[in-house]
Amino acid sequence: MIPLTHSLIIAALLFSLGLLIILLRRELLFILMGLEVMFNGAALTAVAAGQYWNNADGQVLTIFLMVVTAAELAVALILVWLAYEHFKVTQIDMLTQLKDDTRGEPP
Amino acid sequence: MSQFLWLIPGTPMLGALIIALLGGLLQRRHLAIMATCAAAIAFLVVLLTWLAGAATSQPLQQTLYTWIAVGDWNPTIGFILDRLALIMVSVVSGVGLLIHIYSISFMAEDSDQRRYYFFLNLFLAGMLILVLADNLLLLYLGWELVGLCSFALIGFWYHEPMRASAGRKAFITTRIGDMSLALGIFLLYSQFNDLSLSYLLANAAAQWEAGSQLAILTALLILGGAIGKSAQLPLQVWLPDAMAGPSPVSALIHAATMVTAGVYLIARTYPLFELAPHVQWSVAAIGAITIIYGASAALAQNDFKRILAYSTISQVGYMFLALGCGAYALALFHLVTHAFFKSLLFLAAGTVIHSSGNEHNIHNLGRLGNHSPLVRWSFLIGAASLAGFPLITAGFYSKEAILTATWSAPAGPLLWVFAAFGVLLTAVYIFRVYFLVFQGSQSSASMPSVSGSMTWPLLILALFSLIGGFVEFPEGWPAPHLWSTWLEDEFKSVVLPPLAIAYSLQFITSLLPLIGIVLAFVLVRRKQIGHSLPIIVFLRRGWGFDALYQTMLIQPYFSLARFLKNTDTLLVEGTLQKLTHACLIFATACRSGVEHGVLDKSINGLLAGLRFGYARLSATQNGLLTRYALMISAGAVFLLSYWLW
Amino acid sequence: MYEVIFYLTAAIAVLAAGAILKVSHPVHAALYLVISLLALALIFFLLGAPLLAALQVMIYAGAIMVLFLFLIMVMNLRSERNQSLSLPSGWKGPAILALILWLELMLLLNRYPAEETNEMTAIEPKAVGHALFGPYLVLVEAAAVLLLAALVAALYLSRKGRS
Repeated sequence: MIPLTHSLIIAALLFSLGLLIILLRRELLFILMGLEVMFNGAALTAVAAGQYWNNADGQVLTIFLMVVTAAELAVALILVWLAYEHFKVTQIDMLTQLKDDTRGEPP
Repeated sequence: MSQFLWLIPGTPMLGALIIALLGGLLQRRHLAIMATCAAAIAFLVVLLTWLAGAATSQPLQQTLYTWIAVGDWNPTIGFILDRLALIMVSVVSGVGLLIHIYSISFMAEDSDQRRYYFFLNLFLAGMLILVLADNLLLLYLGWELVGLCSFALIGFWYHEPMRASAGRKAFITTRIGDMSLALGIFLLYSQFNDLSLSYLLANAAAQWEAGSQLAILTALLILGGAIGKSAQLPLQVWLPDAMAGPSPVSALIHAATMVTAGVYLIARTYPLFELAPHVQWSVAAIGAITIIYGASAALAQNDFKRILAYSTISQVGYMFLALGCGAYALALFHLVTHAFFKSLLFLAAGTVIHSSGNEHNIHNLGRLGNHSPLVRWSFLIGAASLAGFPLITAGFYSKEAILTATWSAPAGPLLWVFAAFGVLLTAVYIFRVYFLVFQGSQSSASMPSVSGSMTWPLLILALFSLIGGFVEFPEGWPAPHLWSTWLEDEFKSVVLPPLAIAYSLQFITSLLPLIGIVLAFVLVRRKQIGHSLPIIVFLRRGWGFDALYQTMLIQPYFSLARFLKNTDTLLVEGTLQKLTHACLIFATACRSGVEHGVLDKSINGLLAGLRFGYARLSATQNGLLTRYALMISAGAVFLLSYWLW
Repeated sequence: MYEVIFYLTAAIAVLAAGAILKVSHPVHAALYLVISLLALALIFFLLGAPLLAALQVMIYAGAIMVLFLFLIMVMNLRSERNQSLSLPSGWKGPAILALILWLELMLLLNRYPAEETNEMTAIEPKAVGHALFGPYLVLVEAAAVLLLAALVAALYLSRKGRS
């Protein structure tokens, strides 16, 4: 039997890896993939804990997590596409429209 | 019969759905006819329930299905048709049908009929759900539906900013009341764990003792909802502006049905008000003050429809007065007669305005002259009924009954004086309109004809404005009291003053409208009203409520928004920039002045430090997603380590 | 045997996720993501959640992956355009941060060591369904509204002739 601890360690590892993908990759699509990995880490936590307590609530939570992910991804992917159409870039380094325009030397 | 109950709100809802989904396929004219058919079927079902003996039998009930099932909470879509609901349903569907018919001609020229009929049908459905609902949640659904439709129909011609803002004003103002009602429903649910009306009303008295704090709070919250919807003081400001909508809408929503939803709500939940006598008395007091408010403000208006709007506020005040005095049956009686004569007045006014090229000013309308005799006579009948012209009009019987019942309430004579003064004012303002608009009217050849489908509603409503009152004759008359006998099982009976007093009160109330009419005639003759008195301006602006709300609520809100917007700029940019700038000036001044190396360097060092800090802090807002993500995760790591500590 | 499969699958899931960090071609990354997700589905199954395993395969590996691949095709992404094949200059900071986060999460999640049970009980789809449409019914409706909102947003954003 797998101890709960091991599942949780794997979940935490997936979560951290997803975060690392988000932090290191520059491509918008890769960032979304990193988000997916993070979501899955969270899902694994819920499922493992639910199984440990022998309770269906963990699985219910994961199903809702999937719904939220699907809704988030549908909109996010279209936004990526729009950003590509509009700015012709797929890398987030180029998408700095929201930066503080008082950067640099003060007047 | 009870299995057909769902058809009453169902058919208008279906009509609205068809118009919304398939309206594009239909022709304009067919849209109007379809919407009217939906209203007609609803009315037909109501007639059938009358024929099937709903008036005498036990309340009809139908539960369609369980709306939501969460744990042990199962609100249903269920309808109940008792006598109170029967009255409301008859009025709403009847007047609604007439207004649909009237709209066919009135809106024939409009290009956006699909939206109009969609909201009209949806309104009818919402209102019927409201009055038929057997639990408070469903009632609240109908309540919000009518609020939404009212908003959409007031701002129907939304291309004009004035009309659109009138719609918003109505929505926001009634929202205050709606929120209060919602809180009341939450409170009831938290106390009783059930929202079914029959359960609540049966058990409220057992669970709460009279005058307990919870009972008072609940009654106050429900009263707040009723005040908002029924445009009573101090939430009445939206109704005069609501006249920006089409005239049939004003007649249906803002005269006959929606504004009486508050009256219905209080009549429906009256056991809760009986538990809070002070709140109940304040219902009466609000009603009495609103009567004077509406009537006096109507006296000073020059806009045809605004007069009628203020008149509606004042007449709903009578219903509140009756509710507050415990005369629930009489409040409903006045609700019914008011629905007839006020719709009649609105439709007549709409016809006049329509045929005179959208002229709203009553002085100009009077100068324009020619109005068809049909409109003139129907307006006269409506006006007489509104003023309570003795013996032959419906308005006389309902108003007289309320005034008599008021006398024996706590502080009754005071309330009676208010109400009686209101009767006088009512006669003056409505006949002022009549004399100004219609007196100069002569039958000329170029008289505008009233087109077909506008005629019948006027005739039917005029008929009912005359004979509608004969169901309840005043106390002490050798004539039937059908209305109060019929409703005596629903509500407790009213305490009436002794016969001698009752007779003298009846005599005074019959005399007052006549005095008012003579007064109006004299005043119009002398062209006094609307010209000389300084108080006129005060009255015309509705006692300055709009200005008061503007300065007290709206202006501070805008100032706050502006302040917050400025603070943002000031804090983020201003502080750092100004600091650096000041140091720069200071440094330059020092350098040019005394060339002290140490001083110079330290100042320059400070300057460089500030510049460095400014650049660093500014760099945090660099727009790079990765950087933001890094900060978020650094923050998360920090928080977690703090927690683990 | 059971344990071997579990740890093997877990290793695959983690390694595949790690591979996304390194690969340059988006399609490869998508494939690694699929592998990671499928491995996770197997983990769910091994933990005794067959319904979720099936859902994971259908929703993630089936539907969401197609979205990713479709977008890669539409945007015509190629590896040469993706410059960050070698690690970016500031990779050490984020890596340390993620490492600390992992350690912290482990500490946090295993703060109160759970007593281990020896029997694995699978929770049948029926039980999940009962929970879902019983006490969580309102949430299901809210989720439905959320999906509708996402649908509306997607339709709105992707409509033609945007100004």
